[in-house]
Amino acid sequence: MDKLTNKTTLLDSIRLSEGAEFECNEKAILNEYQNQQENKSSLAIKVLSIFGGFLATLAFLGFLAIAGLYDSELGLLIFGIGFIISAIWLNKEYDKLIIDTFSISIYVTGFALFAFGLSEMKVDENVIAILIGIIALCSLFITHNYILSFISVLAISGSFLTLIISNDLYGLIHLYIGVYTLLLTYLFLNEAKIISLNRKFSKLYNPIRIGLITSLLFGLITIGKRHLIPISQNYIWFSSIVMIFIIIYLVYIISRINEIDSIKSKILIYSLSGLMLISTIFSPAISGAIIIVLLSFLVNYKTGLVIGVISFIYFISQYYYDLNFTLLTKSIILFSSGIVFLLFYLFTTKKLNTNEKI
Amino acid sequence: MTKIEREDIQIISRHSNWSEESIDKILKQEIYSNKESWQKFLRLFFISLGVSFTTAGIIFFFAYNWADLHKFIKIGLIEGLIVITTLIVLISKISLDIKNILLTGASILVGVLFAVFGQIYQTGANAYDFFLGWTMFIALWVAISNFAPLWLVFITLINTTLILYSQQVAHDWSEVFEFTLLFLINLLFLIIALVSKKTTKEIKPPIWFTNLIALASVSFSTIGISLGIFDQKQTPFFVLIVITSILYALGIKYGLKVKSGFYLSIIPFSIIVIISAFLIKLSDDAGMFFIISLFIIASVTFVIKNLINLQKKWIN
Repeated sequence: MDKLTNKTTLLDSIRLSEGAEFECNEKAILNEYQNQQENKSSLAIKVLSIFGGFLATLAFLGFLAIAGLYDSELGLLIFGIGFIISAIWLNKEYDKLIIDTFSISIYVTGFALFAFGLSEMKVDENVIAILIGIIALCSLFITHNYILSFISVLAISGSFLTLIISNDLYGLIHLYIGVYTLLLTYLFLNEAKIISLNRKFSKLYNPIRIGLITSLLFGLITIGKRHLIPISQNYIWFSSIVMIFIIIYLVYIISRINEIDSIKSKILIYSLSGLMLISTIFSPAISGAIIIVLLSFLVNYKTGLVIGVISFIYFISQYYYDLNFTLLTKSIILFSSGIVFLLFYLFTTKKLNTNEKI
Repeated sequence: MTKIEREDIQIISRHSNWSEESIDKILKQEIYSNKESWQKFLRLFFISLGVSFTTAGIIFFFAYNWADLHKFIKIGLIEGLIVITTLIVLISKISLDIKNILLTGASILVGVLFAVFGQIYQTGANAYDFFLGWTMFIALWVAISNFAPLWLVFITLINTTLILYSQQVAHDWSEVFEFTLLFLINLLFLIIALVSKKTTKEIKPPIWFTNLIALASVSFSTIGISLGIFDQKQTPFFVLIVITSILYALGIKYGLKVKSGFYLSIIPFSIIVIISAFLIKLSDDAGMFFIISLFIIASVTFVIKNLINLQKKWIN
C-alpha cells in the first residue's frame, strides 16, 4: 500500500506542473498499479515462460510426429487455427501472467500446425507466409499481452523473411533491413508521441520495441554472416545508406545532449564518425548493431543495450573472420582501428576535463 | 518525491490527457541518459574497443607466423608489450576502470605469449598445458584486479583447461565425472564471490557476473545428470545427483533469502529439464511426449505462480 501512496504523490506533482488542463482517471491508474503489482513480471519470469513454452511446444510437436497425427491435413489445419484462436482468446479473457507459458505453447504450436497443414495441402509457400503474417498482425490488434505481442512481431518479420528467401529475391533483404532500421529509430525517438497516442499503442510499445530489435537482428544476421544467403557482396553497401543517415542523425542528437558547441569539436566529431562509417560501409551489420547500442543508451533501455553490445561484438568478429585478407593485413587493420578508438578515448576524456574546468 | 520510472509514465499517460510535450520533457529529464552518463559510456566504449582491437591486431600479427621474424624478436616484442602495459597500470594516474581494462588486455597478451612459444617450439595450439600456463600466470593479476570481466576470462580459461585435459590426457574420465568437476569448480567460484560480497566491503561482484557463473554451473549439472540418465551404471552419476540435490536446495534457500528471482527460476527449470529427460528415458513413444509437454507447461506455470506470490510478499 505504501507504494500506492507514493504513486498518488507522484500524480499530484504531475498535476501541479501540468496545470488546470490535466485530467486523469485516478481510480483507473491506481487500479492498474494494483493489477500490475499482482502480475509484475520480472525478466526471469518472462524468460522462464518463453523457454518453458517453447520446450512444451517441441515436446508436443514430437508427440504429433511420433503418433502420426499429421496424416490428416484438415485435422492439422483445424487444430492449428483452434490453437491460435484459443491462445488469443485466453489472453483477452484473463490477462494474467500465470497462463503465459500455456498460451505461448499453444500459440506457437498453432502456427506450426497451421503452416504444416497448409503445406501438406500443397498450398503455395508464399500464401502460407502471407497468411501467417496477417494472422499475427491481427492478433497484435486484439491482444496486448507482452509475450504474445512479441511473438506476433517475430512471426510477421519471419513471414517477410520467408517471402524474400523462398522467392530468391535476396536483394530485398536490404529493403527489409532499411525499413526495420527506420521503424526502430522512429519508435525509439518518438516514445512520448506513441505512448500518448492512445491506450493500445501505449501497451504495445514495450513488446514491439523488443520485437523490432530482434527482427532487425535477424535481418542483420543474414547479411552479417557471409554465405548464409546467396547475396551479392558487391551491393552489400545498399543497407549501409540508411544506416549512415541514421547514425549521423544520432551523432547530431548525442552531441546536442553533450552540449558540444565549438565548431572545432563539431568538425572533429563528424569527421571521426565519418571515418568510422566509411570503414563499416561494407558491413552494414556492424553499423546496425551500433544503431541498436546508441538508440538503447539514448533512451536508457538496458535490455536493448545488452543485445546491441553482444551483437556488435559478434558482427565484428564475424566480419574479420570472413575477411579475405592475409592475417598480416587483418592485423594491421585491427591494430590501426584500435589506435583510432584509443584516440577517441583520449578525445572524450580531454573534452570532459575542459568541461569540468568551465 | 519518489523517482518517476518509465512504467509510471506509461501507466499515467494511459489514463489521462497528459500532453505529448510534457511526456517528452519528463522522459528526457528523468529517464533518458544525461550528459554525464553519455560521457562515462563513451569513454568506456572507446577504451574497450581500443584495447580489444589493438590486442586482436597483435594476436593476428603473431598468428600470421612471419617466417622472417626471428624467434627472439617475436617473443621479445610480446614481452615488451606486456611490460609496457603493466607499467602503465602500475605507474600512471588513470582511473581504476581503465587500468583494469588495460590489465585485461595484458592478460590476453600472456596467452599470445604462450601461443607464440608453442608456435616456435611446436607444442601445439590447443594443448591443455598451454591454457594451464596461461591460467596460472595471470592468476595473480586476476586476484588483485578485483575486476569482473578479468575474472570471467580467468574462469573461462580454467574451464577450457579442464575440458582439454579430459580430452587429451584423462581418457578414463567419464563424461558425467567431467561435468561434475566443471559444476563443482564453477560453483566454488560462485560461492567465493557471494561470500566475499557479504563479508568484505572491497569486493563487489556485479550481479551479471554471479548470475553468469550460476547459470554456467546449473547448465553443467543439468547436462551432467541428463547424460547420466541415458548412460547408466556409473557411480559418479549418483554422486552428482546427491551433490546437486544438496546444492540446489542451498541455492533455493539462498534465492529466498536474498530475494533473487534468478536463482528461483534457473534451479527449478533445471529440475524440470532433468525430469523431462528422465521421462524420455522411461519411454519414448508418442504418449510420453504428450505427457512431457503437459508436464512442462504445468510445472513452469507452477514455478511462475510461486515466483509471483513471492514477489508480492517481498514488495509488502
